[in-house]
Amino acid sequence: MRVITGDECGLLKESIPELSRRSTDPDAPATPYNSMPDVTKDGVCRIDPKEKQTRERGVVDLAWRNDAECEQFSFAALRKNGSVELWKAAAESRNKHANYVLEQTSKNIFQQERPNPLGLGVFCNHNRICAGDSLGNVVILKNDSDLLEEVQTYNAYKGSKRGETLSYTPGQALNAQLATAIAFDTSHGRVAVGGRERETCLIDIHTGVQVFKTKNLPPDPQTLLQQPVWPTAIQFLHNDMNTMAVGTAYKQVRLYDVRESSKIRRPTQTTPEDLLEYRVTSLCQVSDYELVVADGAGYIYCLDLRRLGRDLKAAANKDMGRYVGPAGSVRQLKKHPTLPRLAAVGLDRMLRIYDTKKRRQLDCIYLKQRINCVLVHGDDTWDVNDATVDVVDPDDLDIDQDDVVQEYVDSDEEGSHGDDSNEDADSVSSDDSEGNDEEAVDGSHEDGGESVEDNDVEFPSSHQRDSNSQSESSDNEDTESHSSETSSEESKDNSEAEEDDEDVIVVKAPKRRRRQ
Amino acid sequence: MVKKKPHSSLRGKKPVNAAKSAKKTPVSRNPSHITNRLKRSEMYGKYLQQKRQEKKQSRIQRVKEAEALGDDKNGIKKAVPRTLDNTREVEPTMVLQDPEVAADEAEDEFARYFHSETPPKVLVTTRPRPSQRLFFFIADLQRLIPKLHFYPRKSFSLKEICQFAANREFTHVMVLSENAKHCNGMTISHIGAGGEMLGPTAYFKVSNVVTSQNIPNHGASTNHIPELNLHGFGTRLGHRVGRLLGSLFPHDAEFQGRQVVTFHNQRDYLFVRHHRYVFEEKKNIKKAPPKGTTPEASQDEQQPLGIKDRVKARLQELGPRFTLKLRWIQSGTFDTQFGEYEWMHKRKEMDTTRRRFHL
Repeated sequence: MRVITGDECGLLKESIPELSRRSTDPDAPATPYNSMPDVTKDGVCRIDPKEKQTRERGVVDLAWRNDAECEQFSFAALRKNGSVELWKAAAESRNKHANYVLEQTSKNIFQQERPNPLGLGVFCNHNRICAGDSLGNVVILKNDSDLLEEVQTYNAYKGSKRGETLSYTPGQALNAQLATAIAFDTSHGRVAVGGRERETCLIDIHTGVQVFKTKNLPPDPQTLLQQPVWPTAIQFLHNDMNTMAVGTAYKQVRLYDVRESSKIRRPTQTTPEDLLEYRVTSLCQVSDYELVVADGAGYIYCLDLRRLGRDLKAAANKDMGRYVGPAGSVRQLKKHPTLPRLAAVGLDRMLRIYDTKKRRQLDCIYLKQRINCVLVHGDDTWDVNDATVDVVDPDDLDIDQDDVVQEYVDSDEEGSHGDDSNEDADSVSSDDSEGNDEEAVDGSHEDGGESVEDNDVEFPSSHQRDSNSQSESSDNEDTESHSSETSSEESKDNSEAEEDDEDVIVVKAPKRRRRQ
Repeated sequence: MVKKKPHSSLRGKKPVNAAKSAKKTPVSRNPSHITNRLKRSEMYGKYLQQKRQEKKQSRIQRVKEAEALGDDKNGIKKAVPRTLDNTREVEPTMVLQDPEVAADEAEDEFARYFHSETPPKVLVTTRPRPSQRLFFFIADLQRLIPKLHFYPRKSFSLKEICQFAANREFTHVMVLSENAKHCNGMTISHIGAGGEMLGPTAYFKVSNVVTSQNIPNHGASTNHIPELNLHGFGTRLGHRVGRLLGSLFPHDAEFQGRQVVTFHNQRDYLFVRHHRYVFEEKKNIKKAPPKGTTPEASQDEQQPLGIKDRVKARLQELGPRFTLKLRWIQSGTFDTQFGEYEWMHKRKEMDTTRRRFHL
């Protein structure tokens, strides 16, 4: 898997997690579920080693220029000084690491001196590249490989009121937050822009007309206060981009129906109030009904879309899964086009790759700067064979195979008894406890050792007979239990197993039932 | 009476007295696996005894070796004890002469202060209605940090205070919080000159505050700008915190004042100390040789001492003494509601082992 990241110092880096994984021997036991992978620095390579590292050229957003099926990978990068760069994968880039060539770069596409760019999107069908800044200006460029012409500039908010001029006054925080979130609806050619105390509105890229504007939830019935809005993350969901998810700084995620024919402008679903604790910074849809939400403190939650209702005051359903890992705010989440993998990137300078089915962290790569954006390659030349296989969870394995139980050694017998374990079953030493020592409860065999009674309640005593006959045939195995020895002798003597109720019951240990 | 025949299962076996043939085997592992309490305690006693024996043996061995080597001091291997600092988990974010990191730091919000381009100006305030003891601490802080200005909190919100500070061209805002008359928290926010580089906000837990009055043999600090000593900041996060603390001070130190402020990081705790140093030279005094020794022997002892033996530095503690521990860093100014955290300490996830430190 290949991941491209852009950080706030202007560096573009490509990471290949497979290169950074330290090789583990196949005999090593499977790592426990809650162990974090080691953080590594390898497998990272700079795409633009000759470029200077300055904060002015900090990368704000990255976007793929072609569809996923296309062979030639190329992407566009938007920098803090407003310039847009187009990068193309060099010819034999599949096997080389970070082999990209800068195709085109433009100067500041925004009209302002010091723009505050927000996001970048590419509309493959319409052949356009679109970038937005924090004043609500949306600039459309042509997506040709040779030219980066500006086609049009719209302002997302001007459509609503006439004669309103939006300008940026330094020092005034509010003015810099006119637009704080942007998203691109690639199938319909629309751009969604939202800002502080400004509702999200969708504008059409060809005409610049405001197509849709969301409406807030009705005011709180008790206090009659309007619900504050401040969209900080917008994402169009997969189902033909008909639903738009908006994450707000007021710790909510709302879903809107944005079909052209839709008349409902209020949110169709919203998360309850207490669910999230910090401002929402990014969203990503992982499967048909799962939406991953990341907030400003590094908490990544997985929301089930089927469970969200319309009620803000509903009881918070806290049984969501969490992706554990980041120590700081997560700036972007991206899902791999085909594999169930999620890449999370943030202010704690780490790139983390998760498996979405088990929410388990697979890789953690240290990239030295604070990272703003991430892109996941669909290319699979570096994929290991087991990338398509689900992550094996040690909880699912047969517990008998994994457990290594130490042989119980009684203190008196330490050192002097070790020879007994391989003796014949016939030679029983006088001590009862010694007999217990001989059971090497190895777990690797299905014949159970000294099994605790509660585990095998369901097995009738008829099983005993079966194991007895088995034990007779396999006399010299280490794993024979004490009572199998006695019972084998007793069966030789043709006596019934009277003491078996007190003695340990010998049964074939079943596959342990998975605790559900 | 008929002698009872031994059971048929015992056919062919002779009784064995296990106690006679029991060898004293060394208890090699910690007997915590034994469930029987009496037995376990007995074996644990044997285990400890054995350990002490082994230790004694190794000590005797070491003494023998030292004697055998005689005066050759190079041969003796000094045993280095294993400490948490020695066995610290390798942190990948440690900064090790990285040009990328250096370029990043040359450009960050604090570079201006380290290059003395902008003089820092710090505003300190408290929570509303502070207790009297906090004022002593603030007075000490004023001697610690040059250019510290105190403003009473009244009932303004922190955002308003930041706005006022920006209007009056302050560069840093420090807020002390307290509980039960003890200062327990410090928030340092960098507001920078102008709204461009709105720096990070860090919140520290403050503990073990000792005001200068309570320090034995303390000295009185003067107006001289102290030197700065930032020690022990290794990782990227550590660098960030260190630079934030270092930006509070002007960087053109007046060496005449001989004062130094130290921020020493050890195991994620920052120890803040304020000292005055003085160098003292030992004079080569000729002592009268003791009776009985020859004059030649006494002359050998009076070789000129090297610099290290001659000049000694003494420290006198000034000012407050306190400990800080980082809780979180937010990018941007105070914004607990809508802020984005650069780093937040999540105890259950981050403190997985005792050997893991973040700064």
